[in-house]
Formats: sequence, structure tokens, C-alpha cells
Amino acid sequence: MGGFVEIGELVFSVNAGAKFGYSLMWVMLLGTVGIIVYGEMAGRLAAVTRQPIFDVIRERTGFNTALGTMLAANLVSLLTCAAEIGGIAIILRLLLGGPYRLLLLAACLFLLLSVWFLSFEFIERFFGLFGLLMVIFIIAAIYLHPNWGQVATSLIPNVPALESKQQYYSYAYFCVALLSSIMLPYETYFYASGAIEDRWEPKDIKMNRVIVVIGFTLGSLLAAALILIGAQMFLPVRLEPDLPGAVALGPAAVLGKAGLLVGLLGMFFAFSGAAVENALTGAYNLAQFLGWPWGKFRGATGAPRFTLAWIGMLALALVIVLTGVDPVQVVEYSIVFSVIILPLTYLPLLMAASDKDVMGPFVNGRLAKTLGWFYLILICVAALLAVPLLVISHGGKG
Amino acid sequence: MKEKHLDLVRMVFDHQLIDANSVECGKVEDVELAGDAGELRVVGVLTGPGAAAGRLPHWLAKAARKIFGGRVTRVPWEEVYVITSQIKLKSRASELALAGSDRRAAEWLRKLPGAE
Repeated sequence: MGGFVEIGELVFSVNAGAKFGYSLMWVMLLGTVGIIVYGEMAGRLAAVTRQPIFDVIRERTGFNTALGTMLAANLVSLLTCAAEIGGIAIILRLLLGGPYRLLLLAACLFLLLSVWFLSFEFIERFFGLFGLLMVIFIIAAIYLHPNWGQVATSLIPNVPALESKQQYYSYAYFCVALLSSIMLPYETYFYASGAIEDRWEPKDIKMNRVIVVIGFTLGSLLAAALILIGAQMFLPVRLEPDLPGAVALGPAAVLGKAGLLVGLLGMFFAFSGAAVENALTGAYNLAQFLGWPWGKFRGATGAPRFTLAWIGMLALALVIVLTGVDPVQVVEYSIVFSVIILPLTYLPLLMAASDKDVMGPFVNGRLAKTLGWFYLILICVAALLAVPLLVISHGGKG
Repeated sequence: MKEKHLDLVRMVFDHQLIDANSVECGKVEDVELAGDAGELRVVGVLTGPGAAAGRLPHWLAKAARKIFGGRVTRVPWEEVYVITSQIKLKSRASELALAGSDRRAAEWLRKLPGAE
């Protein structure tokens, strides 16, 4: 879907470039392989068992742990959804002008009507296709002539020479936040539920691999382009762009007014796609945890409480941004807190996909198992460090 | 459903209940046992917010029952048709007094344009 890059990943990526040049590109690569590994596992599990992730989490970890995970996951999805709605309103203000709160209402209404009237397949295609406008950022990054030799070497894990201890904390914070923004748990929840919505079967496992590799790689190429734009445009002038709209200056600088327009429209559809994904994810999680009928394919009356749940997610998200909180700040916190629930999502997934009784011939192979455990350890370390780093680096401000 | 031995924790608890039409109608929150200590038999499964609240820590259970209600629906074990990764029942949800909230919500949603 269109949420290749949501507002959090966009803000963290461009700021990572603006603060540390290309040096965080390796985190992007590391995170991309991680989300491909777990996305593939989630899609395969859904295709083989037709069991959604929260069924698996609840069966494997028990009621109380699963309840805690579900509540935390839904809180993160709610905050992310709120931030995306805020982001859409900011883009609409740049495109059309008008009071921010009114544009928030318009954004929410647009999302509500889209999900209510459109089928799951159509929503996927609509936001996915228009979200491709974001490719303009890759074009802009290339036009800005980055030093490709340095870009290539920064794909190897490195720590640049920085001026102070505080900057090292800030670098470590960005490592955790970028990794978290790429491996956001909602992506696997949504992907697996979407696979069931699309009625995948074991024969679709090959297609699953192609989709995760292409989809998540494209998302990360966009994020990498944003790091490059940050490094080329904002680092030399020591600017840290706080507003998502500032990112569109990248395409504007190289392609003029048309570039700016395409960049803003790309962001509009990418944020909209991410908002829809998060609203639906919240409803999927709740319905799957409590055993309600779920799925867009059933229609509103075929899955009534599920329908009320995604409407409720959008409504609550709207209330959050209507209070006037800064959507960028909201998403920063939601990304940092989401890393804490990542192990609780990925461990049951890894256990189920490695269980021969559950998966039969489609059980995790040696590669999936090894990579799965490697990333699980990595995200456990990230989860432990997330909050202390948020505090000591003052949210990466140094 | 007649099984000589059943791993209740692995095969029954927390599993999805689906009715005769394969529609989800809750999770197994608890089981009802009968017999003496030597030979216990499962005689029913329990679902609903009241049964789920019973699994929470004591201090939370009370609050959960107040907010979500204490309704517990008992499904007799004879109603269990087959156990796989889900537990399929022989009757429809409405005949077992399951998923009542879904039916009420559906009636309300049906009034909106584009709901069907």
C-alpha cells in the first residue's frame, strides 16, 4: 500500500541525513533486511495457516502477555495514525491553504470515506499507486549528486567522529529510532492480515517473497533518498527540518514547482496509506485478540465490531491531533515506544513459523531461523536502549 | 467431540471459536470440568467478557467487569465439532447466544449508506 514511508520514517530519515550525513545508511540496510525477514515470515504463516498474528501471539504467549502486547500495539498504531492525519493536514495546508483544524477534519473524512466505500483491494491499489509519486524523492536525491563512494562505504556499520559525548548519544538514539521506524510492528500485523484478506494460500508463498523484497526495498530506497536529501541540502547549512513539508524542498530544488507538487502529492498519498493501514491494524488486532469476525472483505455488516473499531481508531486519532499536539512529536514518541513491543510481536511469530506442527513443509529454513534470531536479539537490545537514549539525548537533539 | 486425552492449554485455551457457518464467535477463555480428581472431563467452554476478565490480575478484573460487563457464555462440549487451530462448533452463533453484540452492531450499521 501507499505507506512505503510514513511520516515518522520520513522525519527521522531526513533528520538523520541533516545531522549525520550519510553515516546512518547502514541502519537503513540493516532494518530493511530485518523487516523483509519478519514480513516474509508473517505472510508465509498467514498463507499456510490462515491464522492472523494476534491469534498466534495469544496462543503462544497466553492471555495477559498478549493483552499487554495488543494494547501497546494499538496505542502505537493510534499515535501513528494521529501523526499521519496531522501530516496530511500539513500537506493540504501547503497545497490549498486554510485553517489547520478544518484540514484535519477534511483529512479524517477523506480517510473515513475511502475505507468505508472502497474494497480492500481497491484501497491497496489506490494508495499504493499514488504513493509511488514518492519516487520523485529518489530522483531528487540522484540529482543532488551525492558522493556515491561515501554512500557505499556508509552501508557498512560505522560510527563517525563526532564532537561531543552528547552527539554520540544522539547518534545512538537515531540508530534505534531509524531501525524502529523501518521495522514498525504494524507493518507485519497489517501485512499478515492483508494476506488473509486477499485469501492467500500456500501456493502464494513465492509471490509473498517477491512482494516483501520489492515492497520493503522500495520503502527503504525512499528512506535512503531522504537521508541523502537531508545530507545534501540541510547538513551544509546546519538546518534540522522539523516540518514534513520542508522535505519537499528536495524535489523542488532540482525539479522546480512541478517537483514540489509531485513531492507533496506523494507525501499526501503515502501518509494517507499509512493512516489507513494503522487504523485497520488497530481494528485487526482488537478483533483477532477477542475473536470477533474481521476483515474488509466481509463488509461493514459482516464484521460489525471490526468496522466500529477502525472508525473508532480514526475518530480517536482525530481527537488527538485536534488538541493541537505537534504530529511530528507524536510520531517520534510512538516510534520509540514501538521498539519496546517489537520483541513481543516477533518472538511468537518466529516460534510459530519455526514449528513444524504448525507450518508443515513451509517451516522456517536455516536462513530464516538464523536471521530471525539475529534480529530478535538486535531488537531486544534496541528495546532496552530506546527509552534511556530518548532521555539522555533529549530526543536526538543532542 | 470425544477425545481420550486433550492438552487443554495447547489445544483449547485461547483458541478461536467458529460457528457452523465458519464465522468467528469469540475465544475460549476458560473450560468447565466435571468428575472427580481421578478422572476429569471437559463439559463446556466459557467465553465472553466476564470469562476473559477472570483471567486478569484481581485488581484489573473488577474494573474490567464494570466496564465491559460480566457476561459469561457457556458452550456445552457436545457442541464442539472439530478442533484444529480453531474450534469449530456444530450450531450457529445465534443458537448458542454467541456474538450478540455483533448482531446488534450490524443492525445499527445497516442503516448507513454503503454498509451492505
